[in-house]
Amino acid sequence: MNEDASREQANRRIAIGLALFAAAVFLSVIIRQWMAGA
Amino acid sequence: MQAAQHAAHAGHHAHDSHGHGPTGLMRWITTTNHKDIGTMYLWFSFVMFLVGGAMSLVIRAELMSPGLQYVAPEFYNQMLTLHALIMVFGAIMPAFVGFANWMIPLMIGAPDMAFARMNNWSFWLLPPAAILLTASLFVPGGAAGTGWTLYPPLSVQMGIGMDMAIFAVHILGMSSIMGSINIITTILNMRTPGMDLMKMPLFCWTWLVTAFLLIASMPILAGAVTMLLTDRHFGTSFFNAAGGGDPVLFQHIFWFFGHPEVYIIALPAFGVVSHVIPAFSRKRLFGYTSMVYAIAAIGLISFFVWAHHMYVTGIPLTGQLYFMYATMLIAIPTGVKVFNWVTTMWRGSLSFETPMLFALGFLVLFTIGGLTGLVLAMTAVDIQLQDTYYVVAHFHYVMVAGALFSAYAGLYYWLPKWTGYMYHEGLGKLHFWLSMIFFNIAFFPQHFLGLAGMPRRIPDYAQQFADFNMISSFGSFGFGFSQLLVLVVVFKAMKGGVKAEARPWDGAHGLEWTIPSPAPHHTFEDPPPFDPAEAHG
Repeated sequence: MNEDASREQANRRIAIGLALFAAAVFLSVIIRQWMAGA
Repeated sequence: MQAAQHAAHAGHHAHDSHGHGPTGLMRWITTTNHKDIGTMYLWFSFVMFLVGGAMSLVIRAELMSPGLQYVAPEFYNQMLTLHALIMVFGAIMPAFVGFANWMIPLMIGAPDMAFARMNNWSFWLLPPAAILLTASLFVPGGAAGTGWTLYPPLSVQMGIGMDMAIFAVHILGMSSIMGSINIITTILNMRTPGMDLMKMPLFCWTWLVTAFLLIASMPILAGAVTMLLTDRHFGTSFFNAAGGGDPVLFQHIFWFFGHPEVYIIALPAFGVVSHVIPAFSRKRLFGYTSMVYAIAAIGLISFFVWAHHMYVTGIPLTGQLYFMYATMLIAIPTGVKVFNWVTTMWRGSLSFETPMLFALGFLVLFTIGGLTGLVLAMTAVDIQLQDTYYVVAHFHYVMVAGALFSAYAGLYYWLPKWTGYMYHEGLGKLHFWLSMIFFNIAFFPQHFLGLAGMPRRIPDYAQQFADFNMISSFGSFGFGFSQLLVLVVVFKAMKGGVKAEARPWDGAHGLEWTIPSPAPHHTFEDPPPFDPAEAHG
């Protein structure tokens, strides 16, 4: 694997990690309040 | 020499690239170039700044004298809400994202942002959101009139304009999160070899921390407004007291986002000033390492102070004390930064071109805003001043003088690199002095109004507040119209004038100054050599 391809793969991993974190924050805010009211 | 060869190489590629691809409007719609996208962000933010500014003039016209003059109270509330939402999400944030797009790849020696097509999407989400916000004025019931905080129960009860604001916030949040992912990935993974994180320009550090703040806080706002939406239309009762919900819960969630948001705006402003002050002091930045730790500390603490916006909601005394002390703690890293900027200037070879004037204006006015922030941090004082004009004065010293003055410092500092021509120094200085004088005329009297008890978000007021309001309105009109000078300066610099050298400021350091002015369309296709002597920007 050349340097550019491995850098792109690392870029994608960072991006997916950050996107999952953002999604988890969003869902946890709502689910936490949903469970509190249930 | 090596840098010059690289620049020539970059210029050659730039020339090559212009023969292909779409032209005209399609070039801008489909562009994935970080410089094009940065330019679009900056123009978008300026247009929104004018729109939000026009709304503030409606507000100040109404407040020029007691009684109701020009607009109905409902419309006044809508102007106030849209002014805030547009200025925060449409003007200030996109302006600094524009700087980030233009300068981060140039500063770290990257060919572009990590995800160039996502970068295009991040920008093009903004115009629909802006249209949703402004068009909501024309729907039945008008725009949201809740203030930018969108507090229930009013936000649960309002008309379709509120839904449009909620969707606009969702879209703006998506744009911010995508932009942040791009910035973090670019900074972490695309620096030129040899540029360690602790050798990185400070503007990149401020954006790295800001992007993490955005990713952690924007989904919280998105969650809050989503719950608002389901309360409005799908029968839930997260915040609706009639169904067992809690309106104060919204305030907690909103401010858990809202306080980091303040630093999302302030940190990149700190970054810009950390480049401008050393450049015009002909010295390297004092205390780089402590600056980095201060940025990180401010970012971290910003998540633990949210309830200082809510002292009057009935939180327990121990809670009030905790939030008071935690808030005061932020003064320590902020003080470190102000100390370092002043020490950078100490015994420097100072000159006062327009970027430096705006940076110094930022330093003085932001420090005043920070000090009134400390006053408001004290629970006993804040309970008296809550929702008065003192708060309005405080956050305009932080937002306008802090963020806008710093943005102007960055604009004048980097404009020669963007356009290839020097701006008109006389007009730049005139712009600074008019802004500085009128800003203080507009906002300093608001401290006195607040101390005397004038409430905010009210279109009418008692006779005793008339004089200071007249002065404040006079200042705000002067401030507003003097901002049009920027257009003249920028258009003049775009049309021509004195050619800018690659490094037009003799005290400036960093990779961005090794490429020609204007910056070629494509730069650093091969990682440039990094000279540790140029570290820290």
